[in-house]
Amino acid sequence: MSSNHGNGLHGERDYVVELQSVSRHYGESIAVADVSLGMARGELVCLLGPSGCGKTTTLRMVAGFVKPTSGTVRINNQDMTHQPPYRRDTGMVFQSYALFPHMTVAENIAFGLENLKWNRVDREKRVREMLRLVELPHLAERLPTQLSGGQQQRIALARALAMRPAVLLLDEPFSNLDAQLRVRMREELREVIRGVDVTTLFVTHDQEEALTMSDRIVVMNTGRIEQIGTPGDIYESPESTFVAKFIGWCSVVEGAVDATGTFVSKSALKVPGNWQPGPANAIVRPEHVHLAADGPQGLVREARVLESHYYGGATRVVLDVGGEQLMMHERFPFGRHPKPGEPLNITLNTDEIRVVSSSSQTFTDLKRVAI
Amino acid sequence: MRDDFSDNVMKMAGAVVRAVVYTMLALPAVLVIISSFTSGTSMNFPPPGFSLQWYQRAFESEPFMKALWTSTYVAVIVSFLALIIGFAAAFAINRFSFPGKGLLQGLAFSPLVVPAVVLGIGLLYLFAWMHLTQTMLPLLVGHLVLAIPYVVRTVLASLSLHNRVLEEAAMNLRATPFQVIRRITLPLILPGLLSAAIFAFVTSFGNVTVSVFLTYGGNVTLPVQLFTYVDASYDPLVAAVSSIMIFVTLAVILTIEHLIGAERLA
Amino acid sequence: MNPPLERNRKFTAALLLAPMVLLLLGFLVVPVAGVLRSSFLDGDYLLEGTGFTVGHYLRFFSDSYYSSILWETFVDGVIVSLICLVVGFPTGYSLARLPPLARRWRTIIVILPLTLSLVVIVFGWLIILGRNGLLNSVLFNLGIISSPKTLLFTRPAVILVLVQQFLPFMILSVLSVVTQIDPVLEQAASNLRANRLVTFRRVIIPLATPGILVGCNLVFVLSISAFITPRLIGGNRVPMLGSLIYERIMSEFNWPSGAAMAFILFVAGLGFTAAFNALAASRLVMGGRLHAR
Repeated sequence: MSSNHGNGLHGERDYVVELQSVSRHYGESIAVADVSLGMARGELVCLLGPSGCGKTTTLRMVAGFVKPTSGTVRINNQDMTHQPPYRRDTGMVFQSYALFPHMTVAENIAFGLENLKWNRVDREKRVREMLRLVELPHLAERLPTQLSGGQQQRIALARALAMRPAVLLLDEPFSNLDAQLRVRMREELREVIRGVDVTTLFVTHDQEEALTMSDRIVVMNTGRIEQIGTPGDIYESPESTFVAKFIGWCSVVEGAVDATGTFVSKSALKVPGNWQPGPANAIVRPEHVHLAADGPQGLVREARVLESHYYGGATRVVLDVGGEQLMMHERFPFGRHPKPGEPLNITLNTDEIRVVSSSSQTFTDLKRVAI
Repeated sequence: MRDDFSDNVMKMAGAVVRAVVYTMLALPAVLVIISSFTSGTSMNFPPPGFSLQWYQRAFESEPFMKALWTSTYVAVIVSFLALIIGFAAAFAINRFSFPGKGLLQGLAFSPLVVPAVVLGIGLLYLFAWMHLTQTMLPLLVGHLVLAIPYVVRTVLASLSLHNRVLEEAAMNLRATPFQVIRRITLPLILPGLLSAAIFAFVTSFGNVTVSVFLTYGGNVTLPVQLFTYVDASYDPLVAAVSSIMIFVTLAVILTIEHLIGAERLA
Repeated sequence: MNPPLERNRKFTAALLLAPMVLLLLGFLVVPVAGVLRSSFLDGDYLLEGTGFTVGHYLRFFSDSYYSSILWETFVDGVIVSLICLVVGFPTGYSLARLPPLARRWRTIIVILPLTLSLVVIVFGWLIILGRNGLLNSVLFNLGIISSPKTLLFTRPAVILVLVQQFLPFMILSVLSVVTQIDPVLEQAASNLRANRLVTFRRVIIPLATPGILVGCNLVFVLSISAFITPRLIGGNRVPMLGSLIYERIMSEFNWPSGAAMAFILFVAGLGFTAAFNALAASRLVMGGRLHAR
């Protein structure tokens, strides 16, 4: 649990957005507990977690729609904790886009600029600029109801960015789009954000979105930060079973780390290393498991197929390896897919397997194959 | 087989009941309009022929035209005031949390619970005591009290249907609370506000049960004029005046229907 | 967290609410209290009573003429409510299940009597029920009657007109609850082999009960306080409490006595509303058990 998420606790570094031990309680229930986070200029940070983990509340505290019960919100090195939303230098894209239905696209984009007291000439110039940025200059005079979902999203983005906010806030920006459009819009959005080089905080429950878009990911659970790190860090070196299970496929093997620092499971699965002694779990990703014939060097083990799911191309196989359930993604030649009950020889790439201490875990269902 | 039989009986009974209900609801108004075009001098049915003479007589009748003017005048002022007072209250109820909110909402709707006779004589007594029965004030105040629940209810409904995220978006775009109300909230609930004002108008324009106690001073409204006239005798002149009221009311209903949809009138 | 801001908000809310509260306190609560006060005045004429007496109430409850009118008024109220329920429920239900376009003109017909002045509606009924009116001429031409019958000035006529006036309240109350009942529940019931009757009895009516109670409450309270309709349709032959009060005050100028009756009417209305609310609340609490039966 103790990780690098305490960085910048005292504001000594130059952060665009900085949360210092921010908490939000609703009566007895705690939505956000002691969240600290600093965002560097130009950084794209993602708040990732299951629904109800406090990620949206955290975002809304940055925007000013929710006041923290305790802690400090700083934007551009200024204490904004008690400032109303309209005095904060943020631009937000809402989950429902929240385009004003009684204003045209151009009027929507100009709205923030009017409130910032820009003159008309500058406003019109900026609106045209933003429409070009999102590649919809021909829609300026349309009403929001006449736009498709993807167009609405781009206009919402243009509206938020027009003010040149210090930080762009995105609240589940893709959840209202269908699956195909979602992937395309993700790439487009990423390109636009990179192009204008704006510091961005976005909220999602979709791990793929988080992994592909962010510089850093903040994984949240039950109001707390579980881990902060680059997408690579989060996937390759999860610091808790929760993070491992939430991101990507994995199997969790229960066991303990002995005095020499080697992890040993109940079924004598060994992961050598310099792990912290005590009860621990090994996180085995499907790509750590290979067929004995083509795998890297390692101990060959006998396994038995429990389940086999064909995904077109690869097959996901759930294996029983000496009493542990492990998962494997493998391409099998046509007509040679393993059937339940069939024996297979596998190797484990133990160098890549990560071991996390389980003493601080509250989960009890670790034996199960995750996700 | 038994199921089919009971289903069919229910279907048929339902169709008959509905036909009777809609006919019954529309019949009085339809007949008033038909009789107003009679060429005869009595209310006998069916009318002997078609003429517009009773409309002409209605527009020439001084008491009725004076009453029509009084009714319109009162209704316009009442709908204007009721909208302002009712909107302020509905906005506070919708947006602020304060102790005794339920009680306050109850108060706003209480004019619906007090029988018209009770309110009417109560106001008459009060204004007699204040020596103000000779003015227009009793009518205005009485109708204002009656209109408040309708306005509060309509505005509350619009406010609760109104998407609050749009206001957050406006605030994020640096609009101050006052600008948010002026540029986002008000334009978006405008249909609801107009309907509320129109509701207040019809409530005032058609009221007779309270007005009848408040027209002592000679400021007689059209429904009260009709009531005293019909109480004594009735002839096609009443039908013509009543038809004018029906046309005004119908125009108003269609306007609201156009603004917010008829279902939400309820 | 930010006390000055909080105080500011409270002040704004108070400012917004003040006009309505003052209006209703001054011109609704005070007048009703005034009616109560004047009903205890000793005297028989407008603004001339003094002192304190319960004589008007005593006279009302001891005189069998008054108590029979009170009783008849309540009976009429019950009859009107029941008729409105029986014909209003199917109408409101079907209205809720109609496609929007078909619903439109029907809703306008339902709303018209509510917005139209009461006098105009009653006048329409005078045309229908009059001695030379529509109904008599239809019946005569069909050969059912040989000479015009007196239809006005009868209790059934008064009840009929009250039903027509207040039916929209019942229909709209039912409409608003039925639109909240998911039609899928009815499909589920019919999939579980319930015919329409069983579906109505076991699914729709229990779920629509809150709307039914609201509708009955409105219709009943409005019926017992009616005075224009009994006066114009019923004449002197069908007295109801409302028309009695009107008579007492506007024709006889017997203020304290009229005020006493008005207050009895007010209390009766409030009492029945409270009873209906209690019934609705108890049904919600007991709902589970009742429905399980």
